[in-house]
Amino acid sequence: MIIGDAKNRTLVPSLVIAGGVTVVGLALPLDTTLEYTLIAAVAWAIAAIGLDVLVGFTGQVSFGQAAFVAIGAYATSALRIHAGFPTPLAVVVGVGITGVIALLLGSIVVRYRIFGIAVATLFFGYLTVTVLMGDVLRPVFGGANGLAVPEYELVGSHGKPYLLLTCVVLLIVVFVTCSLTDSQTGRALRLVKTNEAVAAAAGIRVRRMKMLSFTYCCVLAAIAGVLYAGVVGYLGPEGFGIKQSVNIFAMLVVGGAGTVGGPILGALLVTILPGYLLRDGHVSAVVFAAVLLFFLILLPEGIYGLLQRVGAWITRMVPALGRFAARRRSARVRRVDHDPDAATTVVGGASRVVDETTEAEADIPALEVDGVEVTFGGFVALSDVDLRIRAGSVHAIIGPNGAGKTTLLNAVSGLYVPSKGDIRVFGESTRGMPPHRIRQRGVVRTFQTPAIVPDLDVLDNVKLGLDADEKGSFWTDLLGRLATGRRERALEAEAHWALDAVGIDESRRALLAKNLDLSEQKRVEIARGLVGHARLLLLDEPTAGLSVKQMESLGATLKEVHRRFGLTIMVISHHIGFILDIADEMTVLDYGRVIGNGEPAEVLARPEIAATFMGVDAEPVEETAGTEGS
Amino acid sequence: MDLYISAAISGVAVGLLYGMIGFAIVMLYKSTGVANFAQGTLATLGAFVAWALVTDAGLPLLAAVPIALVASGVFGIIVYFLVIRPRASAGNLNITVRTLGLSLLLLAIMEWRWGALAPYRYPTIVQGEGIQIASVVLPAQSLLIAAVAAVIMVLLWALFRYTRAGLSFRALAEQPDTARLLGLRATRLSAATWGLSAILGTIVGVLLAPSAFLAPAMMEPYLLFTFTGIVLGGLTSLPGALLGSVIVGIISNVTIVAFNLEAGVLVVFVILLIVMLLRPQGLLGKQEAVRL
Amino acid sequence: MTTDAAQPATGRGLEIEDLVVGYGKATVLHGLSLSVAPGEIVGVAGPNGAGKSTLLKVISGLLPRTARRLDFDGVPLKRDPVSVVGRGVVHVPEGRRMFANLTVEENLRIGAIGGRVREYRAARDRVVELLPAIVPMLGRRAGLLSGGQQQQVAIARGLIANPSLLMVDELSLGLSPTAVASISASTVASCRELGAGLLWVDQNVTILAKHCDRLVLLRDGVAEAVDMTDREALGSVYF
Repeated sequence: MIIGDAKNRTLVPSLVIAGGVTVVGLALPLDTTLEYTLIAAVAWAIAAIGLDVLVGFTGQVSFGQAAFVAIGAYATSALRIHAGFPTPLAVVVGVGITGVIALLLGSIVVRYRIFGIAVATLFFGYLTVTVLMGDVLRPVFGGANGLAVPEYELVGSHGKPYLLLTCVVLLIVVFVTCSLTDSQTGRALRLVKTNEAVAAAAGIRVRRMKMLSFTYCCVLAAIAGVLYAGVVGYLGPEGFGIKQSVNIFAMLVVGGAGTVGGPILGALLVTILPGYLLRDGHVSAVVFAAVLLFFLILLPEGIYGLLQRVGAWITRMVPALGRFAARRRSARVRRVDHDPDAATTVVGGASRVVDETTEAEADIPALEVDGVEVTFGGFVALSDVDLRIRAGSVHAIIGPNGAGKTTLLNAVSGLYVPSKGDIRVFGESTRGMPPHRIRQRGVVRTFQTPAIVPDLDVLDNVKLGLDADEKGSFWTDLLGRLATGRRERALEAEAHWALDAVGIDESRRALLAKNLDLSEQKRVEIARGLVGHARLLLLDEPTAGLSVKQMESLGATLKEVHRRFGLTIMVISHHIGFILDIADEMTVLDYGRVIGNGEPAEVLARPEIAATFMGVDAEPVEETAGTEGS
Repeated sequence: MDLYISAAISGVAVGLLYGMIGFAIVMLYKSTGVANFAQGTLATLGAFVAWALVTDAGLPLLAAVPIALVASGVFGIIVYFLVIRPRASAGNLNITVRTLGLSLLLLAIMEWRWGALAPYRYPTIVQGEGIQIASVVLPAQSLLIAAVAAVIMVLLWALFRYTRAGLSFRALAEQPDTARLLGLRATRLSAATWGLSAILGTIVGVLLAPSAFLAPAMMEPYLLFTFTGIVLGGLTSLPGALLGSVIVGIISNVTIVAFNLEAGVLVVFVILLIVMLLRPQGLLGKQEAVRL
Repeated sequence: MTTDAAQPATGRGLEIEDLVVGYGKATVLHGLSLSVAPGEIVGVAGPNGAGKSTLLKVISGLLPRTARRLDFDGVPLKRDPVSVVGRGVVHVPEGRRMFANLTVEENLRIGAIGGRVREYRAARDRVVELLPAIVPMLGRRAGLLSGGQQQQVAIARGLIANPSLLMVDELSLGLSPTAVASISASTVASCRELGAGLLWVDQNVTILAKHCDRLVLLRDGVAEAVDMTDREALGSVYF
C-alpha cells in the first residue's frame, strides 16, 4: 500500500543517507551538469520529506506540493528583486507567506476525505501555475517569461559552496523531521493516520493535527523552493505544474513513504536518472512514468523498504548481528524508574493514588444515560434508554445482534449525538461534546478491533494515552531528544507502569504492536487508557475473538485493575460466563430499548430475557398472495 | 452582451464535453471507487490515433474515428488488466496514484511521438457556420457536440436500463460486495467499464480537438473543470455529471470572457471548495455518507 | 413437507472437515466440521461472535481459510464466489442486502445473472409460484420495502439461481415474530420443493428447532450437534 507502515527511529538511517549524499557530493569531482542536478535533487528531496510527513505519517495526500515550492521560490525572489529585501529577510518572509497560504488552504481541505483533498490540491497547483503564468501578476512574477533569480550573496548559487549549503539544510531538515515523527506529536499524527475516530477518542484534536501536518509539509516545500531558485537561476511557471507535483509524489513512492530518509533516495533516483543519465527528455519522461507505475504495483514499500528487508534478512542469516539487534531492542525499553506500587504520576501533575473519595463524590453515578434516543436518518437505533452506572462498579451491557449496544457506547464516548435525552459523566453533562473533550473528562473507550497503531511499538502506543495533544509540545518536539528527553522518560515510566497493571511482559514491550496476539493488543489498548487518567472505562466486546483461557485471563486483569484503581467499567460482551465472572450489574438491550436491568444472574434467569436470546415462535400468517411480512 | 451570450453558449458546449468525460469518471468511480485521473490523456490519445489514421494512413475522418473508437476500447481493457487489476488490494490511494502515473506515461509517449510539431490543426466532422438566431450564432461544431452528447446520454441510459450488462453494472456500483457474493463477474464488468470509458474519452477528444488544437496536454485544464463539474453534480450521479459540468462550463467561460483566464480558473476552484465544504453530495447525489 | 417434493439431487452435499478461519489476529473458527446432505435442512445456532456468519462467508469463498476438507458434491470449493455460486451453493446474506435502487424484479434478475440461469422468465415464474407474496412487490424499488418484505425478496433472489444448497444468514434478524414465522415456513417449503439443501444460520434457536432436520451449535469456533428436543440443551446455547 502506498501509505503502509511508517518506520520508527528513522533518525540514524536518514542522517546516514543525507550524510552520504553530502560526503559524496562534496568529495567527488563533479561536472557542472551533475553538480547542478545533484543540488536540484537535494532541494526536491526536502520538498519530498515534507510530503512524507503528510502522506507517510499522517495518511493524507497533496498533489500540489510543487505549487508550494513555486510559491516559496517566487515569493522570496520577488521580495529580493522588487522590494529590495536582503536575502535572509526575504527567505523568512517568503517562507512565512507560504505557511500562511498553507494554513488557509489547509483549514479548508482537512474537512474533506482523501478524494476531495486530492482534487482540491491538484486544482490548487493548477491555479497557482495559471496565476504565475498570467498577465495579471506579470509585473511581479514575470508571467510566462519567468523571473531571473539573482545570485545568493554569501555562497553564490552554484558550485561546491552552494552544494554544501543545500546539504546542510537537508541535514537540518532531516534532524527536525525525524525528531517530529519520533515524538509525541509524531505518534499522534500516526494515530490519526491509523483511524481518525480512534484518535479523537484518545483525546487528539484530529483537524488540528492534520492542519499542522499540512502546514509543515508546505513550509518544507517553500524552503526547497528557495534552494531550488538559487541553483536554477531562472523561475518559469511551467516547471511547477501538476507533472512536477506528481514527480514529488513519485519520489515518495520510489524512495519509500513513512521513512524520512526514503524520499531522499527517491529524489536522487527520480531527478538524476532522467536529468543526467538519460539525456533524451522524451525517453526519460517515459522511463520515469514506467518506474513510478512499477513501484506502485510491485514495490509499494519503495527502496527504503527493500533495503530494510534486505537488512532484516542479513540479520537473520548472521546470528551475531541478530543478537546485537535484539540486545539493542531490549535496551531501548529498559526502564529507568520502576516503582509498581506507587501509583502516582509525574507527568501532568495529577496524582493517581486512589484515596477515599469524598462523601459527595461517592454518590454521583459514574454514568447516567437519561432517555437517550439515537437516530440515523429514519432509523431509530436507540430509544428511550435509561442507564445508571454506580461509581466504582462493573456494569455489563448485553443484547442480541443489532440491539444497539455499540451505538450506546458510541453515544457515551461522543461519536454520536443523541437526538433526545442527556448523558452525564460523574454529574457533568457531556451531550454534544466532541470525543476528545469527553476523553479529557476521564472517559476511555476501547474498540472491537483494538485501536492500536500497528507500526508503533507497544511502549509508544501506550505513551499516546497521555496528553497526546498537549499545547505547545509541537515546538519542543521539533528539537529532538535534547529538549524532550525528560518528558519522554516520564512518559515511558507511565507506560511501563500501565503495562505492568494490564499484565504485558517486559520482553514484549519493544515489539511492534501488530506483532502481538489479539489478547495482548486488547490489553495494550486498555493500558493506553489507564495512563491518561481514566475514571470510566468503556469496553466494546473485549472478549471477541479470544479463547476461553484468554477470556479468563482478561477477566482477571480487569478485576485487578478495577480493584486497584476503583475504576468504573462498562463492558459490552456476548460471553455470559465472562460477564457473570466480572460484572456487578447488567443491562439488557433489544431493538434499541432497555428490556432488563439488575444483578446478572438474576436477570438472566428471567424468562422474557431468555426468550429474547433464544427467539420466539409465533403462528405463521396465512400464505396468500399480497400478504406482507411485517 | 452578445459576447457573454456566445460565451455562455460555447460554455454549454464545452460543459457537455466535460460532462461526457465526467460520465466516464463517474462510471469508474461508482463501480471501482477509483478516481481516474488519466481520463483526459486517454481522450487525447484517442484523438491522436484518429488524427494519425487520417494524416499518416490517408483515411477519411469518418472512417478513422470508428477505428480509433474500437482501438480505444481495447486499450482501455488492456490498461485495466495491466495497471489497475494487479495487486488490487493495494488500496484506493495507491490505485488512484497509478492513474496519475498512467497519465504521465501516456503524456510522455504522446510528446515523444508527436510533441515536436504540436499543436496541430484538427479536422472537423462538420463544416460550416451553423445556425443564427437573432444576433447569436450557434456554431456547427457546438451543435454537433450537443447532438452527440444527447445521443450518448440516451444510449447510456438505455444500456443501464435495459441490458444485462447495464443492470449488472448498476448492482456492482451500488453494492459491490453483495454483487460479487451473488456471483456477478466483477472483473469482466470492470474491464468493460474501462473499455467504455476509453471510448467515451476518444469521442470527447475528437470533438474537442478542432477548437482546442491537438496537443499532448490538450485535456489538462479540462480534467480539473470536469472534476469540479462532477463534484457539483454529485459524484455518484451520471446525470449530475452532465448538469454540473454544463454549469461549470457556462460560469467559467463567461468569467474568462468578462475578466481573464486566471479569474475563470479561480472561480471554478472556489466553486469546488465551497461545494465540497457545504454540500458534498452535490446537486443530484444522494444524501448519505458522502463526506468528500 | 409436500407430497410432490422433488427428489434431492444425487451427490454428497456439503462436507466440511477441520475448518480454521482467522480475521487478522483473531481465530474465529477452530477446526470446525459440518456436513449438509443433499436436500437436508440444517440449522446453525450460537451466540453472537461465535462465527456463524463467518462460516457462511468462508463457504462462499470470501475469506481465507484452511481446511482438511471443504467440498461440495465431492469436489473442493474454490475461494471464488463466482465459482461457488456456479456450483449451486447460493448465499443469502445477513441483513438482506437489497440493491435498494433497483426494483424487486431487477434484484431477482441479478440473482439469475449470478446463477447463470439461462431462461430468466421461467426461473422467475417458478420462484413466484414458490413465494407468491412477492408478486405485488415486483415493480417496487427494493429500498422502499419493509424488513420482512426485503427478507422475502432476498430469499427469492437466492432461490432463482436454482441452488443445490441455499445458505441463509440470520433470517430472523430484525423481523417481527409473525414475519419470521411465515418467511421461515415458506423458505423451508421452497427448499423442499426444489430438492435443495438449506444451511440456516440464526440466533433464534426456537424457530430453528421447529423447522430443521438437524441442529448444530456453534460455540467457541467449533460445532457440536445438539438434540433439538432438549429444551435445556437449547438454552445452554446462550447461558
